[in-house]
Amino acid sequence: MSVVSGHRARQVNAIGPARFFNHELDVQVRPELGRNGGFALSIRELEMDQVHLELDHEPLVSLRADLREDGTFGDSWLVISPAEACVLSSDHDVRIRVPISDIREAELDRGVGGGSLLLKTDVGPMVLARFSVGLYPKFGYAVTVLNALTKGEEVPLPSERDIPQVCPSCGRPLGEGTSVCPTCLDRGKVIRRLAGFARPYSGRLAVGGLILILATAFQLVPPYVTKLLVDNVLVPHQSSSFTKAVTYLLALVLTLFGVNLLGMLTQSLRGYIGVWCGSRITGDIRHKTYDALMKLSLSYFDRRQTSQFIGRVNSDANSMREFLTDGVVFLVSQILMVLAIAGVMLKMNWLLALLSFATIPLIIVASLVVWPMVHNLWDKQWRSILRLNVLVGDSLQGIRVVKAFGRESSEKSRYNTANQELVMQTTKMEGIWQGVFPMFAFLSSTGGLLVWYIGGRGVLHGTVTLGTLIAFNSYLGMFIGPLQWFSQFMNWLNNTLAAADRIFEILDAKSTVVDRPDTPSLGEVKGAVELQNVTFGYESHRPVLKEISIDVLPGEMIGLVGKSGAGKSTLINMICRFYDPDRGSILIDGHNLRDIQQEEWHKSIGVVLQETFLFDGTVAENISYAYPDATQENIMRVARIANAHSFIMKLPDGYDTLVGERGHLLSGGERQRIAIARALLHNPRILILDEATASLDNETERQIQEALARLVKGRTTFAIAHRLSTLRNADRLVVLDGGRIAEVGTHEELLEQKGAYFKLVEAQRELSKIRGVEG
Amino acid sequence: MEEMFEAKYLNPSSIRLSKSKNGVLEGYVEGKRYAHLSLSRAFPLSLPRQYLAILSHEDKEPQEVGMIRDLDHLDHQSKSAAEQELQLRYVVPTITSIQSIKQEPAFWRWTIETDRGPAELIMRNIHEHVRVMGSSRLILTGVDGRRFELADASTLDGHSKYLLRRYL
Repeated sequence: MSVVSGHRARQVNAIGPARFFNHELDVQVRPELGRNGGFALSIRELEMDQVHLELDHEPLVSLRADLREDGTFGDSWLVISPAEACVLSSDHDVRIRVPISDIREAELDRGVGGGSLLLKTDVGPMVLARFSVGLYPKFGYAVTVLNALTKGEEVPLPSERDIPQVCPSCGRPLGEGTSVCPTCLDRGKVIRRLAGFARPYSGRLAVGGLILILATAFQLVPPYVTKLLVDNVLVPHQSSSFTKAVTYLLALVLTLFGVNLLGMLTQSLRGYIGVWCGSRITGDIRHKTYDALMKLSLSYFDRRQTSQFIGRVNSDANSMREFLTDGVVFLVSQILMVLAIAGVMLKMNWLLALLSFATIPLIIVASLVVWPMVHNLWDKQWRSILRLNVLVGDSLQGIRVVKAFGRESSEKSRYNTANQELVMQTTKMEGIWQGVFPMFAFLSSTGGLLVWYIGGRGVLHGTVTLGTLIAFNSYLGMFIGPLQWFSQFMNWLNNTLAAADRIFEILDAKSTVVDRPDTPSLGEVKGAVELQNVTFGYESHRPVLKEISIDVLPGEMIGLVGKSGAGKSTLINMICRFYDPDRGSILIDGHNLRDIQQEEWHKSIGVVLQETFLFDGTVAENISYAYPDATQENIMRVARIANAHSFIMKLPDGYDTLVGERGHLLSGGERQRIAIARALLHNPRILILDEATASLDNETERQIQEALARLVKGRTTFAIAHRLSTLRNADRLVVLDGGRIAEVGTHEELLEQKGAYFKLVEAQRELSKIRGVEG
Repeated sequence: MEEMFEAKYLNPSSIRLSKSKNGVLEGYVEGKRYAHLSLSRAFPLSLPRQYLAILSHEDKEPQEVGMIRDLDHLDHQSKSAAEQELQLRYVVPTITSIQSIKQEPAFWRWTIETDRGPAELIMRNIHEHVRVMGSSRLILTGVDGRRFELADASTLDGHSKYLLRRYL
């Protein structure tokens, strides 16, 4: 075919042990005139020229499976042509051939860590191929192809999610929602990228650099002046008179004073500029990170514990700040210092200079050995801190549950275990450091001893002046000082680069729900919502919604009913566009939801969610959250509609009452009514109510029902309710079961049908009877 | 109401399981023949051989036929069929040795030997991909979702133990 040579090479690879990288992705763009003409994306991993398989048609799909019948790793091949499905062994011997006409249905049977492609045939079930979890998306596509063939439908092209995302240059897998390959992103790039953040401050940084050079120069002067002092003044010369010598002495001392003064001034100035730029750069990074976090889709946060996440972002940003403010200044000044001192020493006495450099390789070798050790320990310590943070976050957020079940002591011991672990890691980590410093001190002082001995002999022989020896020792101290820190500095640099990497990971994470560029404005929303064959799963191979189709008229109220896990909340997430459907589409007034700007869309919908989240702020601020320009009168008007006005007025601070963190100062019903007012304020055309009346007492529920009834009027509404009675006003009820629509109709119609809805109502009646007895 | 929540524990002698020639678990439970069965562990990590649900796949949704208290109560042939089925339904290879753990920029690459053959495991980081169970048991998850188990770190060879100690 079109990429034969490259393909053969890969194929040889694939027969080896079950490796991760090879063959994970083998998508070719083939110049093939498919039914839709032009180029088609297809998954074909097997080079058919090498296989003795007589097929009447070109294969549509060929895939590598990676598990043998006994569950061990081993390759086999699945080839699907329009007429049959074949399985080949790793040596390309044909093992199974099933005509498509014998297949009733194909299914992806998902186990843990691996699964199988199952065929239902007229003679019973049959396993076609077994594979590990990484191949689910590809075999999911194979199932779609087989089912399309059995039904005589058009074979769909693989979508992006059917093909695992890998880095185009190295073939390593990319994380979900990450667009940048972390391996191909080298350390140099991270540094360059960090430097990119410094660009806006390049003017100040240049001034800072100049001052840095000056400061370094001023630090170099004193030992040289000391040398002059010793050689020209203190060591008696016959030629110069006493008064002349004293004048000279005074001049040198005054020079020293001036240099020290200038040194002090330049050093504090350089420090100030470093801090000024560093904190601004970090501020920019934090700002960008937060922006990126806000832009990310919900699916990114679903997989992460929030408390851990916040801690990570904060501590990473902090370690970057420390490095940028202190680290960079330190690095540059020390490099300058080392270079300058080396130059001065070589010029003063090259032999002595070379002698004192003798210990440098030792110091470098030692730091190369110590550094990886320290790095691992540091990583372990970081993980321990993380565990502790998660634990604290967890138990403090759930403190009510902890107290209610009297589990304080077990929480304490859980904390204690993690704490002990951290103590151990810290001891190890710091212990190593305590050993490292004396070692470096010893190594560097050994170099000093050599200078004293050789230089001292030179002084005795008269080849080296006393001033030179004294200046030399001062320089040597200044020279070795930074070298000792260099190894620690490498560690620091590495931690910072790792932190920067983690921050960049967030910056690079791709939102899975993306606005298309140049999407036209939606204009006035009428509120017609149409779902066409919407299929979606939080994990691409595990659909929660299956081919949902429903046409909702403007102003219609739809009640969503079903057991928990039936997909009600997921359906609402789709309409809110928290996620995009895997297949099918959602149309708003005939426009595809994907083509509508998210911000614009979210302005035309009002949402009251199951968990009413109030932000730390006043009642008025919370009501006007989505519409900060709202007038006081408007706020009070919507609060009245939401039946919230009267209870708010009873609060001593009225609308200025602070609700406390997460609104804990208000009751559930009160929070709910504020949330309803919030959803109402921007007069949305489409309203989404997710269990808005769950877990409330009857009186509160009545008040909220009243509020909702007013709210719903004239708006397209999707409502989920725990109590079916609350949905009686709905124009139509949609009963979901296992991700599919089981029934659609009015309350009365569905009761007459005696189907799934009838059963749900009966079950609830039973429940309320029990409640009645208990009450 | 109460009996609804009572599990149906099957009499081990009423269960005959075997593997069909098409690779599917089939058999008899309490005298009834099922053409397509599967097993599901209630505690896959802590009690892998106890409390297994037998599911029948005759209908659209799998139905629980009943529960087996202990795999070892089954007759020899049924037990080996069940073990095979579990092996395929829970693809969690056990790590027998660790060849190398390398840190690439933002990736940890483990080259390992497992009871099912050699494998390479890619992790984005340690803290999200390694779950510590008990004192020396680890569950490792790769970026692709493949899971590996390290049943007892203390039984590994010296090199593997050295690598684990160094990085974990």
